[in-house]
Amino acid sequence: MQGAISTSRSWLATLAIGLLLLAIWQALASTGGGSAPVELSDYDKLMGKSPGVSVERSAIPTPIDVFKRAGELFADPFRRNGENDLGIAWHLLDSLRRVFSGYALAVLVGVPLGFLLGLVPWLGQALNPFIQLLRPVSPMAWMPLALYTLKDSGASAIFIIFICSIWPILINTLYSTASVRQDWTNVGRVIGLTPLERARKIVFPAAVPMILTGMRISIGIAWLVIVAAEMVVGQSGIGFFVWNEWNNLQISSIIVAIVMIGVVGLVLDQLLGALMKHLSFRE
Amino acid sequence: MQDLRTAGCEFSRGYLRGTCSPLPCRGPDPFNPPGGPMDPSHEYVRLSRTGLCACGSAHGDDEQCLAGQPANADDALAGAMAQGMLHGLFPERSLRRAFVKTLGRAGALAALTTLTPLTQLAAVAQERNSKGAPEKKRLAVGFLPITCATPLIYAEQLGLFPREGLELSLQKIAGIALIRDKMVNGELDISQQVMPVALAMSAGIGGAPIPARVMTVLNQNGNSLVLAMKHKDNRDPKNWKGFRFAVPFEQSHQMLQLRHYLASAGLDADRDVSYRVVPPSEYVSNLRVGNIDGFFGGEPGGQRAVYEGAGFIHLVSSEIWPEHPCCSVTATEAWIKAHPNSFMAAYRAIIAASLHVSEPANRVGMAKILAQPQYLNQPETVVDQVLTGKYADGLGKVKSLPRRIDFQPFPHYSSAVWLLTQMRRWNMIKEDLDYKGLARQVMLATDAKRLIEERGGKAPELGFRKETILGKSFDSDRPADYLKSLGKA
Repeated sequence: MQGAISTSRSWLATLAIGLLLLAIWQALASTGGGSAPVELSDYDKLMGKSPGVSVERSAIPTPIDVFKRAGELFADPFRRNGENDLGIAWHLLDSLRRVFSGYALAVLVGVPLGFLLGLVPWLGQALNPFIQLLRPVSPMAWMPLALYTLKDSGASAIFIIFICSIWPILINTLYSTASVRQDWTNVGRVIGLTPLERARKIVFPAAVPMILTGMRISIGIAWLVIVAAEMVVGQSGIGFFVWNEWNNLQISSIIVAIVMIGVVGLVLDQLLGALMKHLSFRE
Repeated sequence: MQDLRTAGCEFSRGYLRGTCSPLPCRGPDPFNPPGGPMDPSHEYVRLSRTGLCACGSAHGDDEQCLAGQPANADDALAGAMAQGMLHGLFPERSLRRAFVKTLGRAGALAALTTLTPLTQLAAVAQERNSKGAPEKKRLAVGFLPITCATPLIYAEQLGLFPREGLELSLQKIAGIALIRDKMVNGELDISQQVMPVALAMSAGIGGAPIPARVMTVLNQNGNSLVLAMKHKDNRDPKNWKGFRFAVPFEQSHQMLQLRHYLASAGLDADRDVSYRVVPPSEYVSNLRVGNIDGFFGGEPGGQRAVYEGAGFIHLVSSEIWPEHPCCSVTATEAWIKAHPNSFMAAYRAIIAASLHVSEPANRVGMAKILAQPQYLNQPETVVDQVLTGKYADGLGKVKSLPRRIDFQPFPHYSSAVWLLTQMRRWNMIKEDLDYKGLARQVMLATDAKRLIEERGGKAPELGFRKETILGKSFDSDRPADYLKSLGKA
């Protein structure tokens, strides 16, 4: 009962803060207006002014402008008016496709490799300096090299996702495998399991929660990076959309896209979170 | 000589007259031509191209022998082309003769074929007179989201490619370098490109030479030099030291015109200002955030900058060089050779589109079409001001310039020569080269003229005309003199 009250109270507070922020935004964005003359000169008409309205163009749009723009964008998200005019859903799907391709590749490489390195400590230690050296490199620094060697902008974006999401997966798998409690593997020895069986039946299940933590961190990073990657390459994707709208000074679209990127990132994170909850165990 | 006489040809003042069956003989007397020995303008080629004239087989010993005894019209054509090439390679008659004598007919032909696949060229030449099935139906054509692309956009709108048996896949590409790379690696078949790029590619600037051709010029004028609002009281280029300008590409007419303009005002165009290569769609955003002091670029960039209040139009490009070419439709030689029929079909479609949009009567509603998201993605009024030439200059004045942009397709040699001399002037070209020859090679003026006239359009005479740039006359027939006058050469 106590819990329910505090939950509903925090929900109410969230709502109130949200509304307050919107109100401040609206107030700030619509200052400096005023009413323009109803009669417009030739010059004003050419500058795109309409009578009676004097909104400074390409100032920060108000929340109302943004909602209007969102309405336009989502009115027909699957629009396909030739290859050069795609609805926003296509951009989103393109980005998701790239993220999942690169991410799947990273899981396929990172988990087995990390597992192997965790089981064979000397090999893990031998490769550790390389991992530590490459891990802090910003994924976008790989971009020119990827473009040069792969000669394909789509493949380069996928490579960037791969290279940025592999490290958390690799390192988490490595450490979780290496740090499985000695007692448990000893038990395996006692009941006469072969090393391979020990790895499969004891070490891997014990490592799963931490591997999933690595995967959860990775999907967040991958989603962060795809937007940056698409600003550099590609003729589609949500990052391209943002950059294109910026070049066209359509600030409302950018705000809509930012909210959308946030929502999608949240959903991806929650999906991995649910998976973790499902597969975790209590010691 | 005997053979000619017996075939019914007469000699008269150095020219062949009369009829040698079954076709009339025309052209100079091969034994004593008017312009000295083997005048390059003579009509040998034409004689043998017919392949039927009895005189064609009579001359015997040197390059004529490449024509041989043509079995059919195709053979004759190949022979004629080989001769044309031979003339280009060995202007001296004795050398030509020695070349053919040493190698023999077959050997000489083979040697020439290694230089250029003659059979392919011959196929192109034949196609120019007939309509064959396209080798590739679906053509990927790149365009930049600027008003220069109007003929390509209208080619799509009017369905002109399907009419020629082709499918058009029009692809919006952000920048010039990207287009060039996509053309070279085969992602694009033919494409919009700023005109000097075909010259730069053919001359091997910035890499190995990749011979390219200019099929048509997409538009004239239609560019502007825009400065950021903070410079509105600083209109004299002399005071522009330290400015940073955006241009679409290093070897672009925008860059060359801007440099010429600055140099004429007394600045050192190499040292006093800096240049940034920026895709046309990113000019306005860069100007707005103060990354650049100004830009020289294709519309509607300039008009959009005015519309956004980010800058003003210092001048439009026609104030520097009236009727200058801006973008072109470019194809690589390799692609043309591999797809001669597709090439000609696309060529016809693009000429038709250009003629359509250059007709002022057809400009009604044009701004609405171009402004759409899949094309220029701009406010309609911005595009309209470019097309009509009635525009806001950003400083509170309404200006009127009916020929702010035009879409005449004919590729003039003269413009290519001026651009080449400028590239030499700024050391983009390291050594003097045959400017006129390169212009003739790259600009497909002959074909454009024929196709324009076939469709009832008007095309100028071929030749190296004069251009007027910043009020001074430029004689494209004498590029060396011009370079000398600039203190270069």
